[in-house]
Amino acid sequence: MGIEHPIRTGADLRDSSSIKRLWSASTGLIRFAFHTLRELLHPPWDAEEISRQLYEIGWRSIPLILVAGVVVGIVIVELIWTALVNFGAVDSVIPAELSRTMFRQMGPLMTGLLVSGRVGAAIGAELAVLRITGQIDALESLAIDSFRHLVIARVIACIIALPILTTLMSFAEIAGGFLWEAAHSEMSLRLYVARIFDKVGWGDYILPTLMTAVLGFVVGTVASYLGYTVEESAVGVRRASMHSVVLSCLFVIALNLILNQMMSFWFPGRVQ
Amino acid sequence: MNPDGDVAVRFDQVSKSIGATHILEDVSFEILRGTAFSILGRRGAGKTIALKLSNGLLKPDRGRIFINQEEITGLDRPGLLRVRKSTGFVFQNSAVFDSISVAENIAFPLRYNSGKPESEIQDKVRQQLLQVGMEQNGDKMPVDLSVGMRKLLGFARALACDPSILLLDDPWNDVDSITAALIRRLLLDLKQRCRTTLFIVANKMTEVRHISDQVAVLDGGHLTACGSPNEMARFDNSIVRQFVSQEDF
Repeated sequence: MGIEHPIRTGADLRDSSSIKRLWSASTGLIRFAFHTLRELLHPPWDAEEISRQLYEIGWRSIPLILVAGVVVGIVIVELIWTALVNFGAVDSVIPAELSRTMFRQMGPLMTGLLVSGRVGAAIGAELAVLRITGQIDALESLAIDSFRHLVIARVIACIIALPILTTLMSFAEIAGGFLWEAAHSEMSLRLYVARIFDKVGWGDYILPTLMTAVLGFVVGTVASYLGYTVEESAVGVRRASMHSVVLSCLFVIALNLILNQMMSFWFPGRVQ
Repeated sequence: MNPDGDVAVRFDQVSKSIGATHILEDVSFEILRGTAFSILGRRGAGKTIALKLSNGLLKPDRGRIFINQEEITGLDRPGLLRVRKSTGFVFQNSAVFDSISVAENIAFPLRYNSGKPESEIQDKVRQQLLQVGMEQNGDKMPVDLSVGMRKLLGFARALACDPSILLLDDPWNDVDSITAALIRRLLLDLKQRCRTTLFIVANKMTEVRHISDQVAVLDGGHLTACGSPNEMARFDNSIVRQFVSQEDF
């Protein structure tokens, strides 16, 4: 039994058909997202809890982001080299192509996916456990708004952390690219860095990186929804954790595509 | 009926269903300020639901609920949070926050709601730990505590903000006899010294007889009996008789 909250979908739908359940979950998620947006616009926020979540979501994701970034950088450079080697002068093209790919597409997308996997699962499972052990009811009984304390703090932490992690990811990917270059050509670090920033402007970095704040909102909201509204016990935790990852990843991929298209449409000069 | 000023909790024809199951049907009672009211009933009878309804953790399908003369059934979330500041809730499974220490569990609601400086909060935490005999356990994590100690921690946390109404969900569940006696002493002290209103849910008459001013038996969604502990023996109802006769064993 949990708190009766306007955003909850209700346990009585458990026996209804799959389509009804899907409809209920979808409308529940949309209501939850709007409720989250509304609460986000109403400070004060729980600064202590936000900083704790920033540590968990942001700081502790850094090793994963850096390692994954370097590996992805190496793989992408390898792919660019394979694709362009027959056209010649490939070494001079690689840094510029890599930086454009990383800043615009791969950095935001890879960060979104990695955070969905690591943080989405953690938020979904943690909130589900808090719900089924009665700790959310306990918060409410102590006159503490559990939604603001748990959900809003996590969503804000995701919104802040994603752009920072994306920046780190992009530079880690570029570093990975240099490792590949250093092993395969005699390009100096100075020349590599100069070519990296040869064809990218601030617009290539700022817009896609800011876009990841939207991805942060989506990852935080989807995972929080699935954990906060869980109805069953052990099975519910497993489902909340699993569905958080799956849905967050799907939303990140779709949103990344949509937002990139929108940016290309609104800022055509960015595409060279 | 009593003058409203004396009534701390009032249920007025309250009904609640979960899914297709009717849990409570037209339940009415009132709890006078500074008294102890206990609801007995079999497992699944709806006792916990009644408790959760009384501080707005659940909303009734029909009927009205008053806390300190304020109807809470129509309140929005800020209103509910305000009303909850005057109530404390001791959960059956303790529901202590397992990611923070014992002392932090008690300090947590004080930091949110009391507006007191940190030194006063720490004093209050020490006082609460002393009250439940856990003064040596402030730095421990809840996972290192026994079930009984977790229950006492739940008590200390619920009492941290000095609520005028204390809601207790089966406080003697899963505790040893020494802890049970400590809980009884605590409750009597709260009632007599602090005039805290106690709304207790329990499974046995023996647990509540010496504390309660009024006892009710919940069965089939209805209050089948309500009266002082001594009056309960007079009710001609098999469920009530079973609860009363438990004392003979």
